[in-house]
Amino acid sequence: MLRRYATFIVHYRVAVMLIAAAVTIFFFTRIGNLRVVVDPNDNLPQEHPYVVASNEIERIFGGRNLVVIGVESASGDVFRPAVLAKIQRITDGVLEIPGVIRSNVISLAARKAKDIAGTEEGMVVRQLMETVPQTPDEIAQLKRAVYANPTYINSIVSRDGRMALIIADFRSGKGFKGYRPIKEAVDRVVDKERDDSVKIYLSGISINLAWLEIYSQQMIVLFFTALAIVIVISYLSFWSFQGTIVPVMTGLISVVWGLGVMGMLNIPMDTFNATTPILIMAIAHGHSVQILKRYYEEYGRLHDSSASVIESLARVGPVMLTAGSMAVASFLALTAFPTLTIRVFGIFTAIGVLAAMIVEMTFVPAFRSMIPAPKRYEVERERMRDIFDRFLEKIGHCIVAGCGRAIFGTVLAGLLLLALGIHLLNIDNSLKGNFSPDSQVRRDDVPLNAGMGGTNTLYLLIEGPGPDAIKNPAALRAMEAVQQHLEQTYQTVGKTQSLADFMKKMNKAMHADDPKEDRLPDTRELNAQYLLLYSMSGDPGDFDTYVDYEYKSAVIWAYLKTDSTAVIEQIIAELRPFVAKQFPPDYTISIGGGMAQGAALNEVMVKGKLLNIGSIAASIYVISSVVLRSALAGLFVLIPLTLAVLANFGVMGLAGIRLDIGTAAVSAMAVGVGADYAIYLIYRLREEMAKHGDVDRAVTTTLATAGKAVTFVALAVGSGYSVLMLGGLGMHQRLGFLVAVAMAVSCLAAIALLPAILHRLKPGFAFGKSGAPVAAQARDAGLDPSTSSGPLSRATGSNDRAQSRGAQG
Amino acid sequence: MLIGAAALAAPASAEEPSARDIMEKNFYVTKIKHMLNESTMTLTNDKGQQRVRKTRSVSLLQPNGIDSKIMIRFLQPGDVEGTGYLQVQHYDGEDDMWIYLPALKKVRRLVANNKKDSFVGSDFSYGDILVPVVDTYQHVILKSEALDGEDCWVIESVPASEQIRKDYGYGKKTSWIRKSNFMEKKVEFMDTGGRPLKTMVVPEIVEVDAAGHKWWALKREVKNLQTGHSTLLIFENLDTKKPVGEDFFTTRYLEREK
Repeated sequence: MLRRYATFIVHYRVAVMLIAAAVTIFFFTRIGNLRVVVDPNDNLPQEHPYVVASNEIERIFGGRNLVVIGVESASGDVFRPAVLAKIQRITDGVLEIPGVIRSNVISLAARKAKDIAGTEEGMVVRQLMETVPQTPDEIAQLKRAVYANPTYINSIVSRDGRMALIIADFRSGKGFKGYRPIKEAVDRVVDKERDDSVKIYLSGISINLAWLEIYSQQMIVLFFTALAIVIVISYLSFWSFQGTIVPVMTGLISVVWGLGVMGMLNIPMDTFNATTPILIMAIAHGHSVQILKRYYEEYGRLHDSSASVIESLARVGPVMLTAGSMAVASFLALTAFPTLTIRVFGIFTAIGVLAAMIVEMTFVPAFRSMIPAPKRYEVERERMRDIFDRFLEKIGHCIVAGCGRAIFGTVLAGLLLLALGIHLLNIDNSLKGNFSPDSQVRRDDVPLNAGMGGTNTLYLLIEGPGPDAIKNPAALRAMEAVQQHLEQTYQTVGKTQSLADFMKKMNKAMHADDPKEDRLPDTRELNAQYLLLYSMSGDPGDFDTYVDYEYKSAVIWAYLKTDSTAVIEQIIAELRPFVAKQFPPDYTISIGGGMAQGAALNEVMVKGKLLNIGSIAASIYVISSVVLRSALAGLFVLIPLTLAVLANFGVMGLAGIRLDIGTAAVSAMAVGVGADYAIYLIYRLREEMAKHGDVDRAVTTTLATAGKAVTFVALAVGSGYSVLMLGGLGMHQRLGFLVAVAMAVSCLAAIALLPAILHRLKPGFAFGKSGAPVAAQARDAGLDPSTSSGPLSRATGSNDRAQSRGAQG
Repeated sequence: MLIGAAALAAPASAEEPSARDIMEKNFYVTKIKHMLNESTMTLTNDKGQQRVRKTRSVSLLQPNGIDSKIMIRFLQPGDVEGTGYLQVQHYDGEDDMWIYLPALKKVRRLVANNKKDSFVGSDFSYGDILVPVVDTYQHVILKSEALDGEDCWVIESVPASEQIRKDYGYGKKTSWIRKSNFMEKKVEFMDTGGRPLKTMVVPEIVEVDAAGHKWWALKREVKNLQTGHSTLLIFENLDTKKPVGEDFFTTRYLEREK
């Protein structure tokens, strides 16, 4: 069947190539539709209560797209005319940036920063710094005003006065063009103010995401570097033009198709998926190498290019289709993941692998039959024993000689080490963790985090039973208690803010700044009247970030010094029962914020990860058991994968790499790619056994052919991916390293452990019953290419026809 | 008041009045000697959430014909009922303001509001409530046009000085002034950066003193174009006949909670 198909392809090769070229051009033009979007929400499980709460808080109170600008005085504090003037100019400049939410800009110079003070007669609400103070008296007055309002300390001015912040929030609705334009606009404002008198730091989610977008651009360079490496590896593998060009072309075309389909379906790309083309290229390249290797083998035997094209496709095609379908199924299984970015990865990779199979079944044989046959020296060179052959021979001899025990021992020792690593594995997510420690993001974060309350946010959303619920003194007292608890119990909490701070301040001011009156009012009416009073001097939006318009919901903002989700999980766990005790029963409290969302991601990641590995393993087991017609066979296929997954987690634990959104998909990737190895090996072993029934010869031949191809593929994928280690993004670096490790482990497991176990146990699905040839069995399966296409004469006949056509062409 | 009367008494000329004349008449047309009224202020934020406040107020024009004394008593919502607010305007300086909070049982002085600050959390600024005297701005007639069937002059006003610009927070005002009675029909405000800031519409007006050519807006609606916040102010039960004494405008009266 497949032979007839291959013959057909070779016969109509010009048409096939033209169609393939047309499809490729079509998809290439669709790439333009591809949108590259960095939306932090894509990484987050949208149904998780922390994420739901965060979205709600950000909808009501803002804070979604913050930019934090830190101005640190080089000597002394910021309370000097030159530095204050800079703060004012930056504030004014930021207010002019398109998309800024003007009422949510806060700094010493912001209109919103008000001094609430008491006098003998009443209360004064004044903007802290309407104009830059010049005289020592004016400066002293400003300083007094700032420090008399505790809510501003460590939020817009550090306790020691050496640093001040300008915080702005941006809209991300219609017309939002990503975070880079925001960062560039902020840079234009800030760069003018940089000189020896101050250090200026940038932080906030918008800045961090802008950097993420910038680093993602590097992927273009990295992709072509990976391509160059793959070309070199290919050349080293085959020492020929064809050996070099065909696998790379397969890879590139698959990537173009994958990207084109993504563009057509309007699926957005993101930073995480910027690495995916490299994976697709690597997988496609892997399959191509398997067929190419077989083509050389057949050409060495048949000395006819077209016949060899048909023969290699007929023999290896089904294996590739089996392995490819398994990969497609397992990548598609990732769509069960609750985070969009992983789902996109799954779909994108599945499309890419599917494209690779189609290209390998259509364009490649057509192309190969058209280009000149390999030159004699190329063939000979390909068949020359190289370092890989010697290595694989050694393994083969070892297995045949029964030294499997050594392999098992090594594996066992490795497993023990990996178990230790898995035990040490740390699940932790942080956006900043995606950047290298020496990146601008991290370098700016350190002084900001140290100087101010903390650059990591945790919010508590308080929702009362109805409008005006927040005016209830019990609710405000509970908020105060939670803030005190947070600040006093946890060292990492550097600052908290809520409406309660302002209510206390107003009560004090209305009692002529009597320190004893620095407390919350006792009645709902007084709270309501203070708020009305404030509205007579302040702006309508002054409290927008603390309480909603109907006084139904309020928020407590907590700023943390750490961004470890492990720490935050502990805080949340302890905080929950405490908070529940403080508030009246009809109030609901939810937790959100950047840190809580990280914690949410962790929870989902662990569950999702197990689900993910489970589903991939299950689909691989089922598919391979069906195609190999043996429930046992499926288990053998799982061996290299299981080892690769264990190695993935174990190495992560040992190397101190956190399991996070970036590294989460590596195991899925390792499993998907690694499955191919086992399949190619088992199929070749079966084929050899069917041919001659000599167990030892079957093992050594399999290693020398399919095993060698597996080694090439692992080398190409591993090296291609290791290029990511050169990137500037920590997330990409870790991904590169882990994929390289996973490739090495699954390759070694496939070429050493799997054959060793097979040789020892001699299962029927590979070796036939009691070592008898398995031809009949394979025929039953209806999948073995050598027997499935009907009577031998017919097969040979079609083969002859193909050869003659090949000669004419 | 005297100036206003003089301006209005001037013989009507066939020539168009100057922009300054129009704005001066507009300035004085709402300077009502004394008035009692009830008002409902509906504040709506960009998410459609509302705060509704009902007040009763009394005002008395001062001898300079420009400033007023205003006493506002909050009736609703219930938790601020009885809260009193007393404002003694000084067009050439800072207003005097007192507040009485029934829950605190104390009158407190409120110090230093800016002309550009919000008036009781609304989209009106203090400077919109007590409109500055005519020469604070330089006025130009842009054109005449009919707006919703009423003939209007369209007048552009720019601050006369940098200080005025800063104090009031407007870079430019464009007013549609009704030709029939000099009441504004619409005003568009630009901020000091030249961006559209607010739009005020005055769809319903009433003549409260035919002899004195005094009018009052029954309905004013302001929308802040930058925040999406809006304010609807509706007046009811206007009474310009009942005499109003100075005794309304004392801190002692504030404490009466009525």
